[in-house]
Amino acid sequence: MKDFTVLKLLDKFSFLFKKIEVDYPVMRRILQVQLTMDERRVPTILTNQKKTQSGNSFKASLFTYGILGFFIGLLMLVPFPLYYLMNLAFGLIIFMVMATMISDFSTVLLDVKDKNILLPRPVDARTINTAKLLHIVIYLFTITMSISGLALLVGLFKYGVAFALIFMFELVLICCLVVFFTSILYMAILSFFDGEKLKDMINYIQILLSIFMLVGYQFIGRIFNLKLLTVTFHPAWWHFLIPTTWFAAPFSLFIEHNSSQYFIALSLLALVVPTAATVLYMTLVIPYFEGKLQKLNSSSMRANRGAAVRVKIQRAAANMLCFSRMEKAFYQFTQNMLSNERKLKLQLYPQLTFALVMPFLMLSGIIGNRVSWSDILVNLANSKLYLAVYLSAVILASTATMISSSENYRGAWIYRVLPTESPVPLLKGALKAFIVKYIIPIYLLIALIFVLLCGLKIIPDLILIFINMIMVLLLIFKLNRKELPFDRDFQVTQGMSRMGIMLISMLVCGLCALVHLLLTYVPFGVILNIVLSLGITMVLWCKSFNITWKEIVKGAI
Amino acid sequence: MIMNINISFMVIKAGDTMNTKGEAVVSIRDLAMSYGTHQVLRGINLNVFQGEIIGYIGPNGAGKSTTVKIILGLVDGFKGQVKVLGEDIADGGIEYKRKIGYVPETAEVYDTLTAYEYLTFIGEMYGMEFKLVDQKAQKLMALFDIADMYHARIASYSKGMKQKLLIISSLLHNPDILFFDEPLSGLDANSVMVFKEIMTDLAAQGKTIFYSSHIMDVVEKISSRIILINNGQIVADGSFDQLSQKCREGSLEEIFNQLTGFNRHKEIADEFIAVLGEA
Repeated sequence: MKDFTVLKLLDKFSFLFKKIEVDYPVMRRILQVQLTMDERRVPTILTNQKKTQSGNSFKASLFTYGILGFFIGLLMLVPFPLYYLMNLAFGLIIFMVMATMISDFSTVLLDVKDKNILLPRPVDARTINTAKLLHIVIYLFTITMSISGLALLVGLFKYGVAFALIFMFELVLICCLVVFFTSILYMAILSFFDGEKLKDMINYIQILLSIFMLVGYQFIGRIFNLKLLTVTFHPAWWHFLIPTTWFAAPFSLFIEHNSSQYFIALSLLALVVPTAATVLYMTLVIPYFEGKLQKLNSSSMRANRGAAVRVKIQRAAANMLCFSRMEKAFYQFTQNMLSNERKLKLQLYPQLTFALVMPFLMLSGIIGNRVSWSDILVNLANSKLYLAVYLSAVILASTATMISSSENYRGAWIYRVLPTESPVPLLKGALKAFIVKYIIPIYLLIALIFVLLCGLKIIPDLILIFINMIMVLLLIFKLNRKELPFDRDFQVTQGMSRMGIMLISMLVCGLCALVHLLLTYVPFGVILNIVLSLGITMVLWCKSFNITWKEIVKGAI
Repeated sequence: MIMNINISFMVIKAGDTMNTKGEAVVSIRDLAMSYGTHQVLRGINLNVFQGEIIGYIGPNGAGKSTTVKIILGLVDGFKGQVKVLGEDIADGGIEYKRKIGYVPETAEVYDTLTAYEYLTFIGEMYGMEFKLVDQKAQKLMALFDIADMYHARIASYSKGMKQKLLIISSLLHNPDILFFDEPLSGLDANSVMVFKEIMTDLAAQGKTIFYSSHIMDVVEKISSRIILINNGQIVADGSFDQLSQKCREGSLEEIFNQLTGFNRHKEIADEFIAVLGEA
């Protein structure tokens, strides 16, 4: 087993752990095992397929954080007073670290496996808990460094070594504080709800984070266009409630030698609060939290009143949209699976949100500098800017292939034992369910907003765009490898890559948009286009589902 | 009628003969435990002595695993007193755990590790020398016929191999008290024979074994004392011979049925078949 550099570094502080009655050699061994396992966190099915690039997913995510770090680094170049600058920088850093903690480390924080394996052995709880805390902090610190590394360098050159030292030290404090806050948050949730609810909430926070990243990047360029407001500064009591001020104050104190009582008090808070939080975490939170964790794998089976109604509506929809009994069953199955698949939602929802905001992002880019709202509306109503909806179509059409992924992919063996002659009803039912559950609602929302902006007269165009979108969706389905729904793990990509799918979607949607645009100049052109597209779509629908079991790509089993 | 018989059997005590064997290895007094409003254990009283193989049986949800988890310190919040080797476990000491080996029913392992890495890690948690654990682990793996898997990741193991690994990991440190919860699951017939032999020998050496299982014939054959727990209470306690005399039943399975008040198996099976035939 590898001896990690972090552990060697930790050895230097081993006396500290002995002081708080932690069995250091045992804790070190536990950490070593944990770190080794993290490096291997590759799904088992990959081990006998392609060559694995272990640890890569973590490094890849570090890269993403690095990009964000780039912007924070740039921010440091802005000639603001140091105190404001650090407030801003820490604001971003704390937000990111908190979000990462919730999205990536919840699994570690909420893990009861360690407890089950280690507690029957003669290891005391304090040692296990310290190992767990350190495990999280080590990773969180790595991520924090990749987010704030550039800012550190910029600060080092601009303000000298003292800056770098304070900065590094404060990052550790921030990590501890974040772990404390997150566990308090989870504890609160677990006190009121069961484990399933908590997992749902974590899932939504993860989704929000990805949406923030995806949409946020679109805006970051614009931040620098903002005119820098002149800031005036008066100390106020509520500043003491904002954590960023605590961490920003020492810079003012030590580098700008701004030794007013205000800064000294804030700097003290920066040291005292995280330390107190860590002590509190170790002594009070963990014992209570671990007790609550027992609830994690339980779910109160209260019958959902809404569920019965939902099932009825689903059945009615299934009866209307599907013809064979098998297809109906799969329609309903897919709808149920889609509402419960957390990992799938995590990938799907950001895409759907992106599809929703994309046209408006583009419009705001084009319109940008117009002065009044009425001006914009008049302009919009008379333009062909509603064609921006094709941007949504590109994304929506490409999402349908996602239903072949599932975290419960191992359950897919059931399809193959079923006495079905053809996989067509399975695929049809699943695809219909996906379109009804996600694509149609999102599209309706976009369409509604565009009708409000551009008037009722674009309704035929919106219908055309919808038909074209379904056409592209079917085309992608036909070109891609045939996979059963929920049949493979997320990490395994078969058939076309996500990039490839997006490219095809973009090309064909672009082509459709072009034809659409040209035909708007012809009388009844849009109607003609609708008839044409509908025809192609129907032919595609029949052709795409000419599939036998042999053509289906085998999933994980 | 059945109900009456049940009440008269509420506690079949093996008698005071047991108490003459010296101090109890595990002693449980008025142990009660509830999850929320659901009461799992309602006053368990039990003394276990050195060298006993205890067949710890009961219907699903009777509280068997909970008892074991409490003894091992996996579950907090119980009422009553549990002493292991004279040490009260509520005192928070961990030393007694050095003397315990445990095979849980649904076991979690770090399955991205290899057996070599996992077993040496576990051994070191008991304070053993790395080299010694390594040697012992290798030999034990070889005896269980999975020597070639020693450096393979546990994730690639079959169910039986994983079970063998768990058994080895529970015995590496040569403990005095063993808790086996369905230890045979997934093992092939030959390995089962080896393992039963191991248990008998361990008991002969003076080790104490808690054996929990739903397979009654095995429990009947290997246990020196059987404890039946139902609804969080001990309803029978004694050797198989004592129990079969008192219950006038020939097999442990029948005793189990009788004491848990279950006699509808035929009826239920008939109904089940009838439902299958419904068109």
